[in-house]
Amino acid sequence: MLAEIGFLSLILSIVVAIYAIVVSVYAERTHNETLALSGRNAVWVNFAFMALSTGMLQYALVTQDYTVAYVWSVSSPDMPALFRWSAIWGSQAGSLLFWSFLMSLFAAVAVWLNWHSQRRLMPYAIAFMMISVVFFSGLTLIYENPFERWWMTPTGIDAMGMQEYDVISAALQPPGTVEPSNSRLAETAKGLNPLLRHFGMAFHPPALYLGFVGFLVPFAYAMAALASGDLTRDWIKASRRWTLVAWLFLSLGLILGGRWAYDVLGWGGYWGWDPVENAAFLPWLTGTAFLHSVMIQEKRGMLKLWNMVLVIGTFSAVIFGTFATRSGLVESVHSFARSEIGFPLFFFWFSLTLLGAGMILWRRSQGLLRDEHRFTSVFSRESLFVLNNIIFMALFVAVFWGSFGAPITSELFLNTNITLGVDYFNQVTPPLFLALFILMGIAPLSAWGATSVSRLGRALLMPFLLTLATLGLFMLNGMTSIGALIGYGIVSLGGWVAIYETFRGFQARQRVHKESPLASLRMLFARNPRRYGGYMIHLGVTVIGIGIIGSTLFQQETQQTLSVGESLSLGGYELRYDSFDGGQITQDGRILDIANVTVLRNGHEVAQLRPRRDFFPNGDMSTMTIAGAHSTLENDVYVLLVGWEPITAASVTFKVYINPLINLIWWGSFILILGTIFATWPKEIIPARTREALRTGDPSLAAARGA
Amino acid sequence: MRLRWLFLSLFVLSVLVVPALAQDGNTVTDDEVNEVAKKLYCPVCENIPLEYCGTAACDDWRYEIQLQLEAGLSEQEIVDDFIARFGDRVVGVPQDPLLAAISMIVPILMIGASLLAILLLGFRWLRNRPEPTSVAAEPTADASPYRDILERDLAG
Repeated sequence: MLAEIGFLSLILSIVVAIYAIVVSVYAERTHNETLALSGRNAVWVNFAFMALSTGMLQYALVTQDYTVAYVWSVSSPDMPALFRWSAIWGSQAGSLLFWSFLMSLFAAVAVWLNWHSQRRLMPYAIAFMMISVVFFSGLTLIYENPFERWWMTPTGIDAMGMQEYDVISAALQPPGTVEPSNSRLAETAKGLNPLLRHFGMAFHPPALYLGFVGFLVPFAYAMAALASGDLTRDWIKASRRWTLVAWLFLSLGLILGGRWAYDVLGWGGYWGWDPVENAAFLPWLTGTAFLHSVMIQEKRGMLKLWNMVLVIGTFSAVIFGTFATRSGLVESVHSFARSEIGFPLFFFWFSLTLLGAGMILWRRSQGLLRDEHRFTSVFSRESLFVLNNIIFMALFVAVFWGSFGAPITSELFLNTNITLGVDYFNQVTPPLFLALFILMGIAPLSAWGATSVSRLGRALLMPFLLTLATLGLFMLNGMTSIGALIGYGIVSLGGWVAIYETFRGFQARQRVHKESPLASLRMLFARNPRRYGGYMIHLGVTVIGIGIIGSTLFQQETQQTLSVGESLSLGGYELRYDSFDGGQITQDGRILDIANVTVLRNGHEVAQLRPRRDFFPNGDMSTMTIAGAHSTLENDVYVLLVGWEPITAASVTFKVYINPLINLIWWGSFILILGTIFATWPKEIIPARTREALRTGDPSLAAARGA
Repeated sequence: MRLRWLFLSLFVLSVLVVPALAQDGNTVTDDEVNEVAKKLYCPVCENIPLEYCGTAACDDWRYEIQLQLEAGLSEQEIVDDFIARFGDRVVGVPQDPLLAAISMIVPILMIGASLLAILLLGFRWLRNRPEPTSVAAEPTADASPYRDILERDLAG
């Protein structure tokens, strides 16, 4: 019954979304306010139906209704409750429905928040948002229906006189079939992919989806601006905060994915330049470029055409990434099996991109995307931001080519399958990242319009000296590699610029307002959250960069077989194999084989680690290797259980990594996320009553504002 | 009889010693195997380096690398052998010169072309540079929070 409600709700949500598209466009063309309001309300009704549909699937998962084929395929009775919640995105059908739900949610919130402030753009924006919702909901309904149920259809009588059945799946009960027993289905339920049975997987996919889907709103505003011809700064103002929100979640999703990979994939790393990782990284690159170049349009009315290209290109990259991931275009550890949705996704991506490009060219030919000012100085902030954008685009080209371009080109035109692995990315991308870090150090110190070299040099002096001091500390700690020191220096400069500029602002407030230091700091961020949130983001990126350099260039590893009581040495640590606990059975049915290891340094015990291998006997009988790690700010001692002598475990093979500075990546990520939250926070939230009073010129406004 | 026992003893000793000698000859460490495995990719799970993959196929390949190292092959000879048997997909960069050029040089060419375009635009700007105008410093006071609403109302 619940599955049928979910199925029907999905259909109704599509119908309502189509209504919203037609009515909104018609209302805008005929200036019919009643129809425009109807189209707006349809967005909310669409959301209600999508929420009901998604809620039904979630309920079926939580209540373990295995007659629903999707629940049977991603859940099992022995799974912990947390994973029964996260199983909704455990496979293609559920994740597509969840994606559609999030799109609908973003559309509903955008309409609720921006209907009055962006009234001119809203009808067309609704149309473009609902087009995407219709497409993804339709894809779910037609190709990957999560509401199909198991039915037993009689096939004949066996030799014992018993009725034989086949089990089929269908959305509605076919004639002559019976419903199977839920308890019998539960016995054979497949359960969630073991790789997804990790705490990080409860947050990484939804964060990533929120990031991807969040770019729908700025895309819709940009397309609405092109469609309506209202290419003033309205669409930019409407888009910027939404882009920040999407960027926040996309960054969080990428970071959580890296952390998940570090914890469960068992290779001591966090980023493998996997095609699906790269598919999520591409919109992050263009989105970051947009967040910088949008400031140029806001301040100086420049780069209008380029910003349009960026924001539409970012959503195009999101759809392309979705197509590449879900169609199996380039196989990777994340990819779902090849499915029928490949062609429809390709068609949607191609049509959307073509439409966006066509509309940009159309408005450009009308002169509506002309810049209001010209560049006046090479070292002006706008020039440096343009350079920043060029480097982001260069990174985009390099990553796209390595992940998709080269493999597809060689297969299509040269009939050869190639893989561009870590070697390619580690050769092409580091110089570009270093160039970005150099700009991160210089651009915040330049001024809009004009900056002289001498002025820039004076502003850079103190951060440069602080950078040199940082390098001195590294050298005192024994760092001798010139290449690493140059890298640390370039990366640190951006962080010191951010800290120094924040300190200068703080100092200025202290002189003028005579506040307590805490109050000064709070007011500094409150008065200009965008600027100081941005500095915090830069600081976070610097800390991440230092962590990446340390963990990449100075990682040590070894693999050795130890008998009980034997030790190995690596990077100043000693690891002693103590004992083995094999065949431990958990409540959720996993079988654990655990090695007990003692970590010593300078003869003193610093940690007890328990690297293990989890075996999942239900479902696909797969295994997962979970590392034991001793984490400090200095490094991680990361131990994997590779193999052991059967039965006695008298000897065990360990793979051990020493990952210097790796935890700076996670701490830097925390600073980055916090900075983004600050930057996104509105300076002042105007109550709805006051907004309405302002809009209508209500005389009671003066009383409401205390005048 | 004594001679028979002597030959029997020698036979038993040789059976014991030869495997021990074979053990002593095996000086290939796991780290040496992994150094080679780092350069190869899993034949089943694409884009996973052979060093890290836990599938049975990768276990077999790593064992094969161990045997080849014990037989005295160099790292490059082992990699070349795998490429000859399984194709370019087992390495991270294509071996065919044309494909290598396409893979590695195209993005560099595209980036180089973009930088060249920027330089040309920069030279054109230098030739036509207008007089630099100073721009007022960013206002320290916050703009009216209702400016946008006011502007929209005035615009109708």
